[in-house]
Amino acid sequence: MGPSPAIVRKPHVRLSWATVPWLLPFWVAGVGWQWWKLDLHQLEAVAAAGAAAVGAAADSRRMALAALAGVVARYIGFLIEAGFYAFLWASRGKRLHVWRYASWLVSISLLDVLAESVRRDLAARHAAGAGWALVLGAGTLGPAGAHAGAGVVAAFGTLGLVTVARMLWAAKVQAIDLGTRLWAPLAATAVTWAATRLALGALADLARGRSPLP
Amino acid sequence: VTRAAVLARVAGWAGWLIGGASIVALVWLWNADRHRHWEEPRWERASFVVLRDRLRAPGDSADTWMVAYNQQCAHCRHNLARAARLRPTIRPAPHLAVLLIDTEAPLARHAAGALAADQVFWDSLAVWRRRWGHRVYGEVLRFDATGRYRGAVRLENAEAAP
Repeated sequence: MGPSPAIVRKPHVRLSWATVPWLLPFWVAGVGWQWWKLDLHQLEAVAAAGAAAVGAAADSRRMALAALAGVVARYIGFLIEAGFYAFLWASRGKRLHVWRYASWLVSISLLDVLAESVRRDLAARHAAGAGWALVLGAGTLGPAGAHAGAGVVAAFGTLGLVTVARMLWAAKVQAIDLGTRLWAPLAATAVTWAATRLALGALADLARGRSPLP
Repeated sequence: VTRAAVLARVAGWAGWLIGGASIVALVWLWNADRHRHWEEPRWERASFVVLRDRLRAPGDSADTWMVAYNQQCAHCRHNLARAARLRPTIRPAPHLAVLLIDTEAPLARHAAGALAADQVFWDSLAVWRRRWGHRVYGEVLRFDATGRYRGAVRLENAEAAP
């Protein structure tokens, strides 16, 4: 008998896909469909107001395409976000699986779909209160309720329990893939979120200048 | 430790450095912009090129609503139309003015003929942007009869009022 062949094992991947693999394309498309509907409703509302003022009809086909472009941009954003965290952890000698993590970001974004839908519904009914502000952020109260500059509202107006839940969920997924405790991914996620929101707020203020309305 | 791992760590730290420096630079820029001295807006003929003007009758104390207008901006057309629609519902009805911003001279003169407003001024010296520090196209500002700034007009609120 000759020497037994060496057993080559693939490195164990701790993180599963967000769904069973065969379902994943349908799941990603389904979440994209929800985002597309949300974006389309917003575009239609803006276009309807504009059309009423200038007496022109809104082009529904162009709006549908614009909403689709919004979904594509959002999904590219998920990939960039996943790539950023993979890069971050690679610099610490750990591997995060980009595509698997991105699949989770798509799922986690359903929280944002839900939050945004409720926000728009509350705005339409002028029904936001302190309770909703706690859940969805002070921006829910609108510019009059926020008592802060446009930059601050743009930056931190969505900070509520839903945002905290989103960060916790994303950090938990990272922790599973990295095989670490929760606190390090949570700190990375929270710092990244705060830094990007700070940058967004500064840009919003710079874009507005001294103009009194956002 | 492999060469690739070392490179990944170096690239990681470089990424952090660049990201951190970008945020610091942005916050510095934001702070400098906020603390720069800006002039209080003032609606006066001397600051702009007058393309159209309807002189006020003696004793006319109505405000002026000024729309910051750029031809390429749909929001500007939208807000000008809303302001024109709202104007008759307010007593005394404000004068409607257009300030053509970020516009070249030939375009400004061409645009002035088509705009339904009492006054059309062209901001040839970029007063709106460089001296007032305003940057949002389509904003509607309110001035009293002497040209003194009285704040912004919230068209949504005015439309919602009974």
